[in-house]
Amino acid sequence: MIQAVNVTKRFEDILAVDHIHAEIKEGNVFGLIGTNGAGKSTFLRMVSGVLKPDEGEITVDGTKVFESVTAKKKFFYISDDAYYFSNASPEEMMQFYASVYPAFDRARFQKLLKGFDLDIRRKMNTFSKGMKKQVSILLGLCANTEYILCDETFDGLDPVMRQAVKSLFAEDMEERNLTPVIASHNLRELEDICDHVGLLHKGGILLSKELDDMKLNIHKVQCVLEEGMRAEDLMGLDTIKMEKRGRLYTLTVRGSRDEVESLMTGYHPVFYELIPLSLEEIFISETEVVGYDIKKLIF
Amino acid sequence: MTSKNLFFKLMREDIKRRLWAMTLVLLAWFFVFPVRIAMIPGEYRFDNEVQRKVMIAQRAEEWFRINNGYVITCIIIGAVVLGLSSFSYLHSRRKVDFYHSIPVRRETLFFVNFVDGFLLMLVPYLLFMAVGAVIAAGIGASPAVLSVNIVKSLCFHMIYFLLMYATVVVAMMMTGNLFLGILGVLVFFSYVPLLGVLVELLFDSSFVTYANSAVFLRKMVNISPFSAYIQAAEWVGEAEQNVFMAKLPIGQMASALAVAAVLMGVALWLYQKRPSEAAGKAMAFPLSRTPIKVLLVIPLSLYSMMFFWGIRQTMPWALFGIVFGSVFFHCLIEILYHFDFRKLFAHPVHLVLCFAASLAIFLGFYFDMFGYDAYLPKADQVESAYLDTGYFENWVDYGTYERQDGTIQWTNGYAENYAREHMMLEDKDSVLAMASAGVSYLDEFKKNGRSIPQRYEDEEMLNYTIGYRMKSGKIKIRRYFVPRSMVDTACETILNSIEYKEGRYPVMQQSADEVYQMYVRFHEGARAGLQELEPSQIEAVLAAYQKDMEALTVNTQKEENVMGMLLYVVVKDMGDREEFDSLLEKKIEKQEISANWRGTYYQQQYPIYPSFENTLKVLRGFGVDLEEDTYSDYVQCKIEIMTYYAEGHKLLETAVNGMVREGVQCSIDEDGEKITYVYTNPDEVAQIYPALIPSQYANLNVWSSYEDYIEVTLQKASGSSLTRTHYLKLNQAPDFLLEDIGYFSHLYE
Repeated sequence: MIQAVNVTKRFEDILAVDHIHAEIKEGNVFGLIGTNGAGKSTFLRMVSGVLKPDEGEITVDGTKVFESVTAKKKFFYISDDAYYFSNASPEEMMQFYASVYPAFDRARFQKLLKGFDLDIRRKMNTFSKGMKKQVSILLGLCANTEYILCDETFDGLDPVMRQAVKSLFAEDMEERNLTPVIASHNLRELEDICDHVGLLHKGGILLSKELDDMKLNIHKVQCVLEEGMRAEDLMGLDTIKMEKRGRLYTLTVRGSRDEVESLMTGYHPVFYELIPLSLEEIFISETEVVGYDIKKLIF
Repeated sequence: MTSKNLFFKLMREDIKRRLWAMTLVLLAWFFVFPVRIAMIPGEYRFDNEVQRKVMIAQRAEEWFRINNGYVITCIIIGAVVLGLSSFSYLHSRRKVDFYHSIPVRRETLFFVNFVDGFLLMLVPYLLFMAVGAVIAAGIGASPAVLSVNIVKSLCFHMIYFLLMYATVVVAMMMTGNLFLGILGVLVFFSYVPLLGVLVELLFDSSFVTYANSAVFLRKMVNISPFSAYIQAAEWVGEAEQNVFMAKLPIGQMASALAVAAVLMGVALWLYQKRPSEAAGKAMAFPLSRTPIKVLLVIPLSLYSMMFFWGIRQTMPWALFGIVFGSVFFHCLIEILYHFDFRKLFAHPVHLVLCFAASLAIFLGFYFDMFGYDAYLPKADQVESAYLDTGYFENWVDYGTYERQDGTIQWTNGYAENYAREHMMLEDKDSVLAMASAGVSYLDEFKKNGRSIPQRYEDEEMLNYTIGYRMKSGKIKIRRYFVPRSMVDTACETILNSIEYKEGRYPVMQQSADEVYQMYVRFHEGARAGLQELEPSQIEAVLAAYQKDMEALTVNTQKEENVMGMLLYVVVKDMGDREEFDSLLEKKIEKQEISANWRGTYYQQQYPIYPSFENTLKVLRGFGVDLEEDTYSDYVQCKIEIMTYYAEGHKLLETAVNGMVREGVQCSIDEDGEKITYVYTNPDEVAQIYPALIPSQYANLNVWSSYEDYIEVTLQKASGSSLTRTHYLKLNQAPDFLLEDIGYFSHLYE
């Protein structure tokens, strides 16, 4: 587990990370969402041991990260603007990482590279941005660390590659309990991979929840009520949001699926249907409740 | 994987990343050694093949000496380039993220890069020096000499490389940007010596009594890796010029190595403390910004003041210089710190404080708030003193030869240094009288707008330095510039003292076993040439001379003319004379020492006066008679007056072409630049002779005044003439001569 307790980081007058508490459990995919300047990269750089927190501490499995070789061996950090040796090829990068990560799997790296149709001996500076990111991800996976920290790594990938990478992550998660930590400003990217999502805003965590928990307890109900009935008459429902188009109501409500269905049935609507919410819609709902206009925060 | 494996793997990876640096270093050493050595034979084209081979071999051996400018240049540039490249990754955020996120401790990263940089210099240097040595041996250089030179050079240069390299690394640790890193290197390499220069300039321009002994600069020049290296190399180079196998300055090298180790420790500590977010910023440690800025702005504004003062020497311009310097350099540094031109007026309080400090320092010096010029110690505070005028005995040579381990080493000497070591004046009253005169004249001088007061305008000025050896152990030195009339009495008293002579004339401290060869030079009018003394005669002559010199007074020098010279060369620790002769011969054959030693070589020269009875008696006993008068042979005296001197030009007014009177012919050349009087009356010639000083002796006695625009040639009856120049002492010239040439002293008042 990666644990951040009261972590703070300042850059002169700028408070980049403000007393963050976070727990990243093993075996889960942790998504770190936030706009530019929210503190995602700073937080990840502290987790990876690049930056030293001004206050608080970050530990990996109980070991403080900063300047700890033991802790650093447990994760691989992929920066948002990764550095590659000038005129190096993926093979040379592999050799370097293999020298510092004892468990690096060279054979798997070569195989994966081939599978992604990337030439192992071609100079990295001739690769496109997306190709470089692919190489970074493959290097990270083949380092066989327990955690992989990805800072806006999926941004440069096309949908097909994104899916391929997600499959690899899923495969490693299953086989060796890899724990990815993925920072992004794009909720849609994280939708089908994250187990836990944290929302960063102005250096602080606004929200940190298991995605399943959020999905279990919030639903979208589309219904048509009987003549003379209004949405306000549906007293038993814990409605977060309501939209009306003609006689069609779209309600975002809290509660378990069974509870909501039971209540709706009781009101005898002409028609009702429970529709799954996207991560984006869940976030919007959750943050509007606490007074933030999420659209301003993440879009 | 063991940490040792990881270390070497990281080193290998780092070197792969720095192939460009390795290539540059390899190329540099390739050209400095193998290529350059191979070029040597082509530089010598003599008919004499044996001589040519000797010259080639010697040149090849010399190339491996320490003071090789090309090697020194490569070492300096290499230290800077490799130091910058070793830690340039710290200035890039991307690279810092990369290196600091991998499971490698900062200490490991530090040592990998540090050691790699060192090896990138050492290995090519050693390799190509070895290849060069093989080529040198092939063209005749001695393998033994080469081996010694190589070992000495390698140790010397790599120690100073390490010192400079570690300094560059510290600069990289303290900055976050390559440009600032380079500026940091420049600051570290030059700050303290330039501060020393500034202090010297302030003292020299503000304090009239400052003795300009460059004491601050000498102390501070070594507090810079760059200047310490250059100075050490120059020191060794000077020794190598005189002695083929110069000794290494072991003490200095050990200090350099110790300092390099400390700097490496400092660099490591800085790396451990350095925040990763410093990458790309001007300074890595925010707390260091203000102190560095203040330490730069104050001296730079004082330099600005010195610049404008140097142009105009007025207070308003000096103040302008301080204001301009403070504002300009403060703003410049703020811009560099923030990489933002709009920040030039950031921290105005710092600007004001820097200006105030610079102004206070300048005013402190200008108005001598320290009381430097007015300093006069109390007699009971002074243990002893020394006096250096640089006027009365500027013909004395203080250099020494010394026999050391089969070599003959020459060391330059200086009057003030010799006085500082050997002159122990105890007549504090006379010393303080001279100092007091200096202080009171200086007061008048400053009140007169730092110009010579009118009442002293026509007076001869005397420049002298007094060094006080205080009972506290310190030495305080002051220089004075006063009209001679103010200090004549005290000065003569001091000059007559044995303590003065012991600190002014090395002859007083020398012994016969140090004198290699001695000659007596005769008065040119009597006999030309030198008479060599036997080694067995040296002791007696030297002892007699020391006795006579002790008794010599200023009055004697005013009245008497030098009649001869004692010439000799001193070699300390000479040992057995025959062995030394043999060593000398070998050195001359190898061209390590001048062949002049085989002839009438001398280095020390001392005047012999007619009152030197002891010396003259001893010399007579050895068959050397300086008093023998043979001037009766001379029947004609030609006196040539150069009219382009002011006084000579005045004499042109009374000169007339033709016979002045019987026996005296006058002629003026076409351009009016020379008047010639020829005396043919032997009696008159004989009367003129005592007023002549051979030009070689003229500067040996500053108390006798002579006219150096009048040259005299004596001619014998047989027709041969003594063409060596004499000068005329008008105060001893016969009246008829003065009347003939129209000289009346009152006309020249």
